[in-house]
Amino acid sequence: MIRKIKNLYQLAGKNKATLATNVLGLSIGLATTILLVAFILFEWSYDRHFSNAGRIYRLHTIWKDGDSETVHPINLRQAFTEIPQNVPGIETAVQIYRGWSTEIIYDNVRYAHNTLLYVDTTFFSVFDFRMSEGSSEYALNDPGSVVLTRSLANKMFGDNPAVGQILEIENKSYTVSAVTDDVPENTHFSFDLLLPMNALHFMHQLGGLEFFTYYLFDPYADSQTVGDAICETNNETLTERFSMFHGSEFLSEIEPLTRLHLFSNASYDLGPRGSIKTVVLVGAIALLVMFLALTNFVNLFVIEGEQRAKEIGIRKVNGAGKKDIIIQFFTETTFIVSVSFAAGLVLATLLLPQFADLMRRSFPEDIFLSPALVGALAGIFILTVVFSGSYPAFYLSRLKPAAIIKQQDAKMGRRKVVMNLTGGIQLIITLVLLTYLFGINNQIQYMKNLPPGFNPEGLVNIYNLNDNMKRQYPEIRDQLLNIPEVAGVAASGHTIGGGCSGQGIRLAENQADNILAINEYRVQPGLCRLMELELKEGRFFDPDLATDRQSVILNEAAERMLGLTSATGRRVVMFQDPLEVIGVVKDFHYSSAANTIQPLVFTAYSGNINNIVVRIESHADYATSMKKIGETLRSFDEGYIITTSNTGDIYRSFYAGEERLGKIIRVGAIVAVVIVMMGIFMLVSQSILRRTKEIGIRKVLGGSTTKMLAILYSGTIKWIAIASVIAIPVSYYFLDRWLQDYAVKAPLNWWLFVQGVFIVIVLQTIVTIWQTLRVARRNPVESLRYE
Amino acid sequence: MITLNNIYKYYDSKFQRTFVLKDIDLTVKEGDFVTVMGPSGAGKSTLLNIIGMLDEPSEGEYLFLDQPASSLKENKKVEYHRNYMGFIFQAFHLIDEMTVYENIETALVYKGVKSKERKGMVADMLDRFNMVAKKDLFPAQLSGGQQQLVGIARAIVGKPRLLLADEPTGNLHSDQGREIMKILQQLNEEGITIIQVTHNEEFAKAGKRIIRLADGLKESDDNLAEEVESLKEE
Repeated sequence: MIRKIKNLYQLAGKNKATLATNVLGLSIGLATTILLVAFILFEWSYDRHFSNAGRIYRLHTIWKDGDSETVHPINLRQAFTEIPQNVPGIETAVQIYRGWSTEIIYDNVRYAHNTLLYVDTTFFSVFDFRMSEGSSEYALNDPGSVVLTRSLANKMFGDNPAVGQILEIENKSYTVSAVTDDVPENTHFSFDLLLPMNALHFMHQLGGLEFFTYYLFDPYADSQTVGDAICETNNETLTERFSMFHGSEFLSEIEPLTRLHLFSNASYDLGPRGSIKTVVLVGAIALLVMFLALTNFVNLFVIEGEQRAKEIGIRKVNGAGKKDIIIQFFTETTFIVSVSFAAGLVLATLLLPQFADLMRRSFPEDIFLSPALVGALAGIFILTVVFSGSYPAFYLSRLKPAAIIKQQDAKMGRRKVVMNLTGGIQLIITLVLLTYLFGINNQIQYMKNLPPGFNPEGLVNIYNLNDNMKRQYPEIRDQLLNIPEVAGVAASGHTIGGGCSGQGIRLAENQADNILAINEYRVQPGLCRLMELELKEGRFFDPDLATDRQSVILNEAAERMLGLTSATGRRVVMFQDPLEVIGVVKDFHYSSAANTIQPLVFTAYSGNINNIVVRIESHADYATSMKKIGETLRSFDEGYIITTSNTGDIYRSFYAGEERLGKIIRVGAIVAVVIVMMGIFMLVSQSILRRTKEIGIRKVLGGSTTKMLAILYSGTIKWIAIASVIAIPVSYYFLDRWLQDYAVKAPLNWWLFVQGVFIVIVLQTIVTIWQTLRVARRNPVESLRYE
Repeated sequence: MITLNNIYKYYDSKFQRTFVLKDIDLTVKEGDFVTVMGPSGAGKSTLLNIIGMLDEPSEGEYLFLDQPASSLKENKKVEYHRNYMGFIFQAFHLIDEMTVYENIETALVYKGVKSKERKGMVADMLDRFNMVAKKDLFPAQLSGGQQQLVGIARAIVGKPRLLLADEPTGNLHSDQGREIMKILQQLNEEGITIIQVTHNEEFAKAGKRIIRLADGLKESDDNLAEEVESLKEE
């Protein structure tokens, strides 16, 4: 056995460099593909772990307003209280109300940043979770009960039982009724604790779009019929409820649970969502990388095989039949492919943490063991063996031994074309990936460098304030202003750059049924000034003017929407109340620059404070400043845990999606470049090997090294030129299409398209020169002596 | 054993037909030792290849062991190669990555001989050619003459009835060449039919019969049986 392997190694590895390149190239390509496929399968697996996954559907509300259409994943409370009774075919339903990040007090210790969901008692009938402690059956029936996840329970109670413990959440006491296993990563929502919907008395009175609604259909119900019936009933309820929005139309749609993560067109969701676009792109990159690695491998194996024609001839003369030769080649190929696969798997395992980080996913440890991935790998394995083994096996085994022994390069011509062709395609793929990468980075940089319309740097939002602190805001503000590093303080109900409220607005003189949709930021007077927004006209809110509570500030887009050229002094109506426009700010970006700037209104009527906003002096040290701010806040609440976000970071995070996309493509592009260069390296060295004698003769006849180089080099450059001619329009097309989604587009400069070509030429030049010099520098006698 | 009737071999190019062999008639009996001679390009190797079924005649009839053999199926040819024929080449054509032992063994592996038997048969060959000590060396570590001995060992280990040798001494100096010829004569005495191609007049006389080719035509066919006797007496 050992001798056999040794023999395989000796035969297959006639040229050690080729063998190494083969194994290395294939394993790099495989590792990349394995990781990318793992990601795709993971994205695909979202929510499929629920045993009822195929029967669960979510209701969406579509708000149509003129040309704009917003898909809200939330509904009225009636979608739960009425629809299941009135629509046949629904087994049960559940609504989820988002409780955001919450603080728990247990045994006088505070635990901050816990994701809380309010759910109906039917939650576990729809979404089956394995219970780690207690039973799911009545876990949520008592309004004073709370269900924790295993990790949260462990954090608070260690190894002690959690059920029966009493916790304090938002000034109320709750008893732990059950502990679930942690929410699997591939779930479209996540939570640390669940509270029953009736834990809060006002929940049933919330009359707006507030609740994520899920239905579990009967096993034998026709999902189309049930879905249509739900939508119809919901449409009626919505139209009735929002009758005052005359310009708007309300529709419903039902979406299967398994499509939520990748296909949902809801404008927001309970957790970070994937996108089928990304999955398709990742899939395309996986395919391209695999194609590159495979063609390389097959090409090199074919060249190797050709060099072994003599050996095959000898074997045939000694009585080897076609079958023997075929078996021999396939055994060897299988051996090398197995080694490459093992190396690829090891590489993939080593790179998994970094990759998970890049994709912002935490993959389960056994992801490589998932049947789909194992199946895909087996498929790739067979494909690789078949492709790389077939040519040498079937072509060479058919050659006449006499011909092989006599003349070595019998049929070079045709195969050279095939190899140049695959080489050309490889170059095109690499160039397209590189150019696409440069284009995306260009767009990201362009959007990041756009002036946002105010100064986000140095703005810090402070959250997690208790009711007492909110009441004491004026004192807190004064204290904070005493800190030398603090340049200004304001407060707000919304986070700038975060979500807004969707409201309706109309000019006071217009009909009551002419309401237009507008985004609203509820702020406290002083915030606009602190943000350093630019005024087009009018003024900001004045903290000292009580009447300003009944005023609003618009942005230019809102002014345009209302059909005004100067809005200051005009009266508008929101929530049936007349409000005066005291100022108009210039348009500023409050979401990604990919979107057009939507109409926005700042209001000050609400006294609710969600966060305090502090501007830090630009020269101040951030850590020191935060320490001082934290100390000041703790003088108002001893156990306060400071929770902040930087507006600058929020603005940068707008482009996190694009940046991740760029990173994925970068991985693909780098791997492609590496594999292709390896291929070129081997091709050049093989063609040099084949021309060693020619080079020797030319040198004997007086040819210079430079001339040798020129001959070998011009061949490869020609292919880059041809590949570029195809790759540039292709990448232009893809980039142009990608940019369609963006409100602002970075110009597609010519140099974007030249960069990739330039990189490839430089690398190819290095590879060619390096290899050529090795041969060309040699003494001509040496290369001739071979014969 | 071998009968060739009106064998032609030619290659067609666009405007003309190039003949390599023209109208060759030849009969070789079991136990014969035939030498094919002639200038370069006379068609010697082609004739040998046709007899060895490495090449096919364009026209004519080829009977091997009284069976028609001019256009055999691949499988049948492999069958003949395994069981009836051995080849020796000018350039030895050993597999560089295999040891002496493995090279000799190859033919038996394809013949389907069991591992244990193979060991014995290869050992016999190594013994016969005094190469036991060299069995684990690679071809590159041997002299030309020794490499050709391995080549012969490989060719005859399967006990073929016909041995085809294409200039077996072409790459060797004369002493080594003579040794190889002696071995071929011994093998012939043991009953193996031999057909060899050579340029060398001296070595040509090792055979019992000399066929001279020129431009694809058979020029002469001389029986040398008596001369062989005299050579052996020296």
